[in-house]
Amino acid sequence: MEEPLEMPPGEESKPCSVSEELVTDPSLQVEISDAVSERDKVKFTVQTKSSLPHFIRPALSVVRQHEDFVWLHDTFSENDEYAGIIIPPAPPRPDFEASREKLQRLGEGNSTLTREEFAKMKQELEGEYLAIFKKTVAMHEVFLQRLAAHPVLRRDHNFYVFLEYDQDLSVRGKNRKELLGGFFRNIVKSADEVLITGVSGLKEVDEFFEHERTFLLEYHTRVRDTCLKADRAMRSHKSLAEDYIPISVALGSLGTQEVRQLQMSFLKLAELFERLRKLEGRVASDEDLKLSDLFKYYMRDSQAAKDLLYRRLRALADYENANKALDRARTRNKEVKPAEAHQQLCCHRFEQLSASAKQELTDFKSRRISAFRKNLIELAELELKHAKASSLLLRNTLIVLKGDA
Amino acid sequence: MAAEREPPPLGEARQPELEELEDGEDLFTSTVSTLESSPSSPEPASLPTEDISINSNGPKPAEIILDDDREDLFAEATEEVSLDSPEREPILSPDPTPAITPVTPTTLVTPRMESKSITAPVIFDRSREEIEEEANGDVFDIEINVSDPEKVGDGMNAYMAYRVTTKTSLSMFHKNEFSVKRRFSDFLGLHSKLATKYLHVGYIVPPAPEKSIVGMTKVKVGKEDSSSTEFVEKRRAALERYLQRTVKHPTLLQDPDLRQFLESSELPRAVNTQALSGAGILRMVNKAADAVNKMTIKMNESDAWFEEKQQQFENLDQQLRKLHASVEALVCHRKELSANTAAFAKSAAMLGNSEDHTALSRALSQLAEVEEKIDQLHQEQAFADFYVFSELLGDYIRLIAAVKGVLDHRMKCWQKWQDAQVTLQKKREAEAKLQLANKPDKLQQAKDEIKEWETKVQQGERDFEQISKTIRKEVGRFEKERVKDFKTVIIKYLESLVQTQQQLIKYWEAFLPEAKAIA
Repeated sequence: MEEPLEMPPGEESKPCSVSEELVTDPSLQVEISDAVSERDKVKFTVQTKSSLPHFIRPALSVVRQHEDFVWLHDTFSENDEYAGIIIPPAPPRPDFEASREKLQRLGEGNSTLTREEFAKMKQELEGEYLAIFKKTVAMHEVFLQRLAAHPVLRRDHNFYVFLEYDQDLSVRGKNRKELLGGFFRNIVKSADEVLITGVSGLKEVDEFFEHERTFLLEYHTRVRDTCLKADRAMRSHKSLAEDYIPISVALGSLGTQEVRQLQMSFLKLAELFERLRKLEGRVASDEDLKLSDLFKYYMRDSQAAKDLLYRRLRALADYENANKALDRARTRNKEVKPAEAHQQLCCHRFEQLSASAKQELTDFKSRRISAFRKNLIELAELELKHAKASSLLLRNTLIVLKGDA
Repeated sequence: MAAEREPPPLGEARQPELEELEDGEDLFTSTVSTLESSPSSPEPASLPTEDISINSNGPKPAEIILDDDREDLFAEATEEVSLDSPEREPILSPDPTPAITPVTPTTLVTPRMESKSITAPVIFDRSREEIEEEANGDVFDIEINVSDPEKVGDGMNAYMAYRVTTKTSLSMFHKNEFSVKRRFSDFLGLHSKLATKYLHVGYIVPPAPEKSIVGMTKVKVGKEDSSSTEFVEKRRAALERYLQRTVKHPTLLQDPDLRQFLESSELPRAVNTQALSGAGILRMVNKAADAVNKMTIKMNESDAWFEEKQQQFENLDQQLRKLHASVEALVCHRKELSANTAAFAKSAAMLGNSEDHTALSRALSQLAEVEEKIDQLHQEQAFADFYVFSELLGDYIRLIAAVKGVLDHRMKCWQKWQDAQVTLQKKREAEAKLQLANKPDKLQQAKDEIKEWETKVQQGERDFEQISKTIRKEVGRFEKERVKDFKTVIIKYLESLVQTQQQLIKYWEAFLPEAKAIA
């Protein structure tokens, strides 16, 4: 079964299935129907179908670039209104660097390769390039689809702009200052988190959140490590599959030059290795999609969940501080009213955040469980399929060779 | 045994050579007696010394032949040497002529005597085949195992001793089952002896495993890590294959040195095999000299078979090298995959531990277990990749080098013969000159020298024909063995791959319900 080479309209060959419930809501359906790679930019065609009153037309289509997605994500994460929501992680930057480098090195005229080997390697690398391409499209699509599925986030104004505005969004990439700023913000945030939970004695009253915090911290670290290891294993597997190419070619040329009695054996072997290569390659890419991508996604999603917890803790700290300020104001009997108002505000905000966070975290858990379940089942089924195919292929070859002996 | 095999109707053989046949008969009876009396093999050993002396005298052919004498040279040559005589043609061209040892399986007959058998191959063909059939039950019933590597001694003088066990029903051995302890240099010593005796007359002597200073040093120094155990295992397997190939060779199996190696409990240390010994350096010098000589020998190949074979082995060598390199890369990457899979398994287990949903946690732990088992599978497969496939290719690359060596020896033999002819010519010219100059005392010496060189030319031709014959047979046997070997190995390798896939199926089938159980 060959993977279709052109862009699939988002059905069976959708590689990234990290979230279950995204496909069905008819009131707002978003998908990336096409993508084009131009030099180092990828242009996504985002299609929206909606019955919601806000949209001008029931069906829209715009072209967006990766930076636009990042901009959209940042508007969400910087928006205080959404502090109690796990913001869907931004899709990773399309990275064809490695693949492009490999193709270039191949093209640079490596004279040790025969023409056959060259053609096969090229085919292999082109397949790889295409796979990366499909993956990046899927990642961007999932991001949008999660937004569309979220009851609160889908109503965001910027989201509408993103989906509707038919001109170029002209979102410039962050300049150095902004990037640096973002970098520092992250550091401050983690330091802050530590301070809040550690020194200031901020007591976590809610058992649920205490548990979640412990869980998420560890989980995030572990899933990041597993993601890394899965990636390495997958890449080894790819190298292995690629090794079959020169072996197959060498066997083929041996076959044509050998004595009559060995010709058939070598030619059959050459054919076998060529087909095994394809199978091994598929195993590697399935492992990539079902495992590596899964872990990667949940690494980012668990980070987003951690961010949510942080924001809640921040709100709690603000609430505590507001309480203290109120007490101080009461004892001094100065500016009690504003202090009271402020304290009320903080309390309200904190409680709202907590309630929202609770829901979000519960959703996160069920999302995670169903995604893992789906991917693990699919992984096992695919591994079985490939192993059975390989086994059959090998056994058939053995029958032929034994018959010839 | 020779006597009873001597077929009576010798007269049915080629008529013109009848008188030579009678000579041959005599020679063979004498051969038998010498064989039965001498436990070791002195005759072939004497040839190398002869070789050396001739080479040092051998003049370079090109400059000396004078145009007006050319006709004479060839006229005389046809009488003595008859290289391209029509009678010889049918003898030389058929495929593997088995006429080396027409009468007994013991093939210690020297090339000198073999030449007579060229004249009556038909008869001996028949008898040879009969012998082979009868002997088949006997000749290949020998099994060699190399096992139990043991470190002996300490520090830089330490060495590994291997147990060599032989199981056989052959009568030439004293017992049916016996074992001895040998070290690596003993194997090299054995090979060196066999090579010296048999290579230059055209036998393809299986090459011994290669030395490895780095590998051995690690073992000596006592590093008990996996790389040194791997090295020892690799060597043990290589030594076993080496001995198995050597005993499969019907000629080499008869060699007393081989027998001594397998049987006797004490073996004199082979010091000449050390890389930096005097003998080692001499070997290197000789190898270099050989390489230079090979480049300057331009042989008139009258036999297309040899030219074809030369080309064929050249091609095969190149192809096998390429394949070998690719398989080595495969082994390396599979080992890497195994290591990475193991790391992933551990990480997945930890992830499973930190997962708070019970069913998912269990599924992840199961995944980790599956991956760990798969890592084991990869390791085993890498093992098979290497020992079954890669090492076979390596062995054959070295074997083909031995075949090429033997073909080179034939070229040298031809060169020697040509040189002898040139020298003979010069001696004749010298004699002619002396006759004119009328110096009777020197004349006699010149006549003696001519006689001497005539013999040498005859000998050279015989040697050349003999080595050609031996090589044809050897190459035939070699190719047969090679085809069998490759077919067996390919099947074995594929079976290992099937095994891996079957295991994978088992593991994933066990995992699937666990994944489905996540609620």
